[in-house]
Amino acid sequence: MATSVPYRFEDDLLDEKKKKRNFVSKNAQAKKFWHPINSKLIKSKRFILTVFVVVFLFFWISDSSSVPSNMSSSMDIPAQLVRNHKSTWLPFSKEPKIVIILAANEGGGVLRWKNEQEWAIERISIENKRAYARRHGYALTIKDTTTAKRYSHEFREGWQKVDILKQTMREFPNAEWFWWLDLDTLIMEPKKSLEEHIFDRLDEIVDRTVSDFNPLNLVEDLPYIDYTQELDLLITQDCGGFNLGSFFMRNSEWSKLLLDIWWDPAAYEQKHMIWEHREQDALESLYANEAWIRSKVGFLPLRAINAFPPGACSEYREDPRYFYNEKEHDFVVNMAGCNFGRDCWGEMQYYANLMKVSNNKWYTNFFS
Amino acid sequence: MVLKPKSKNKSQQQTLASSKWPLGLPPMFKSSRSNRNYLNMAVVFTAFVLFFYVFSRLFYPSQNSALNSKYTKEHGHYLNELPASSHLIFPHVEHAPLLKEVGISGLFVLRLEGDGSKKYVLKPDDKPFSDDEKKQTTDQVLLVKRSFLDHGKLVFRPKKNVLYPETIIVTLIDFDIYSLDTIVKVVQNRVDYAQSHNYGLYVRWIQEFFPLLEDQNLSASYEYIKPLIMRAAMHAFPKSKNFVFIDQDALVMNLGLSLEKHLLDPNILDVAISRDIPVMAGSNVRTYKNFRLSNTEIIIPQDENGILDLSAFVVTNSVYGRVFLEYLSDPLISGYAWQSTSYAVGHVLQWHPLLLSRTAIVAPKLLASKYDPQQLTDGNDENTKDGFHYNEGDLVASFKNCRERNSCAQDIEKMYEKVIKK
Repeated sequence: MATSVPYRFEDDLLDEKKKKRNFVSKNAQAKKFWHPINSKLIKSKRFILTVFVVVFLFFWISDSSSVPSNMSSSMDIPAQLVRNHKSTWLPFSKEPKIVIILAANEGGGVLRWKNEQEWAIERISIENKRAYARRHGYALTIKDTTTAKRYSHEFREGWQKVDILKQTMREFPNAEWFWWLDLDTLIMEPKKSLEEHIFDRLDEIVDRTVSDFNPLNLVEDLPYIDYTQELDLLITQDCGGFNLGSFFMRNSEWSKLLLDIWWDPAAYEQKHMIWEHREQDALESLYANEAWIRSKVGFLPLRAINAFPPGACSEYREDPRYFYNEKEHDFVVNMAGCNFGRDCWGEMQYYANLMKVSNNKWYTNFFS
Repeated sequence: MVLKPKSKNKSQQQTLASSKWPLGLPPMFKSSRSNRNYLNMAVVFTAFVLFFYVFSRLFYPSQNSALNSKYTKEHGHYLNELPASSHLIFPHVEHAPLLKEVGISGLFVLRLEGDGSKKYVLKPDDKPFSDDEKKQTTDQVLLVKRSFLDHGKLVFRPKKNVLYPETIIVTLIDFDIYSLDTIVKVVQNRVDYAQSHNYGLYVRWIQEFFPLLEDQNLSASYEYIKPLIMRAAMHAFPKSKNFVFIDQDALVMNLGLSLEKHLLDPNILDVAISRDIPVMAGSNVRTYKNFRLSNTEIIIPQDENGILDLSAFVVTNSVYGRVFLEYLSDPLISGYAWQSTSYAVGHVLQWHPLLLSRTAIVAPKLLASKYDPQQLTDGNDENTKDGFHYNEGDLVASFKNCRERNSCAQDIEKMYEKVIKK
């Protein structure tokens, strides 16, 4: 438990110690100087003790759900919650407003063994998000996306994402935004907070229509779209259409309705041969035909939260809109589809190294 | 009392001293004259900040206004819209015979699709006929055609100080199957009802929706036009709350009965709602036992055979209401081979619990009592005293199956007499 005591308390303790040291000081001048305080301290000993005990108990109890230290076996823990350490400073500790959902163990299960490199990728990716969430006071929840039997039928494979989102919304009823991240992603600029990078400048970076970038050739306009509504779903488009490897969803009535509507067997029965990307295709279809969806969906530039390594969308090598740019400090890199004929481990290592180098400070070496 | 800090006196003295100083800081100058200087400086500084703020506003107008202009305003199926100052929106019914003569082929453009099929299309950027053009034209057919096409562009934009109707009655009328006489009766009946309770009215020709249909077959797709017109009504009356669809094969019989007192009041609805029954016949999904009446956004009657009856239903202009209507109009749902639209609605409610949790399934007597001409002639038959059949005093008489009996026009005429007499 000792590790879980926040440093505020330690500060207090230091203060107390300092005062006490002063109190026993033999220096005459200091004694004269400190005299009134000393006498006060002596008089209110019991008061100080009581305050100390109360504060100690408060922090101890309020921080009792500490983070398990053994991260390498994290896969045994289906959902994990990193508490907002910033807020424990304050007695009126607020719940995190942003929750990062990390889909781990993708496609894992009993079909084959998970190899060493996959374990390592998972570790790097989780540690990356964990550090980020801790740094900015967000919550992180890691969701196991093992191929479960109830999703094994082709009609249902993509439902898992929806179920996880629903479940997480129940877990964090007071959170405002949920950020879904696939495992093969890496936050390259941990300094940037999401507020600073996304939410404070939504008006500047979000496009609410597909007229400027329309890889799917969707109809640009539908009746009854209300563009004055607040955005509830922030996604990106890559060369092949919607990309749900990294997206934001607001905790709202609308989002819950979307999660409810997203999967319909009647639609899926007609389209399951065509919808290769399951939930992505289903969302595209909803977006194509229904105005209530379009009213609340915003498109972020792919590179804002979902930049690709050169291997993905490789037929568009020349198009700078898709690919991670080191010089422009893109926020997140998503090694989407690296397990289809590309080297996931190599890519992950490359970007993890890059991140380490670009975020190095002159003093970092002192602490390593 | 042990906990009370003993240094109380001292700290009090300190706060007293500091309260004399402006901003709790020791004064910079001692004399009262420099005190005034200090004040002057503060005033100048504040004025400068204010001026700067106003000035900067002039050069950077608020982001929002710039943003909104970037996107098109919400519009219906037509981009151009016509403001209507009356809360009773219905077409020129007297055009019915001429419209029938002209037919669909004369009203819409037939376009050759990519796959070789031909389809009637609606021109979204169609410009409404101006008053000048109306005056200059002597061609009666053109006038009728233009008025038909422009009717869908009407949206309610009241003059100031006009009471905005909270409830809208929505009806579809068909110039192909009914004579002018019957259509006038149906529309007049709605107008009478709407006026006596200050409701809005939104009536459109079924044929207006023809180009929006996937299979372009009116009799087969009639039911799918209902969500379309309901959504259009919500667009035409954006601030209204309740939208009540009443089929053209039905008449409001009890003009004095207001919907608020009859149906929309939670206390009344509490009696009428069917809890914990299969959503549709044979379904394992049942309506919620602890349905929250204040959550009601959709009201649908279910007939005695357990079939959802869409001859009359209520949808509110809310997220749930709009989702329900737009989802039903999605080609993947409306294009599926359902046995009937009632099955489509049943499917939507069964598979989407959030929508079901906002849907009240009620007895038809509230909205769409089934009128049976045989039994009513025998006077007050005991067989018809149930939650399904029409009895005197019911709000709506619905002439279900009148097409099969081939008696719709007669039924409407007969019952319309009764309404008038009252």
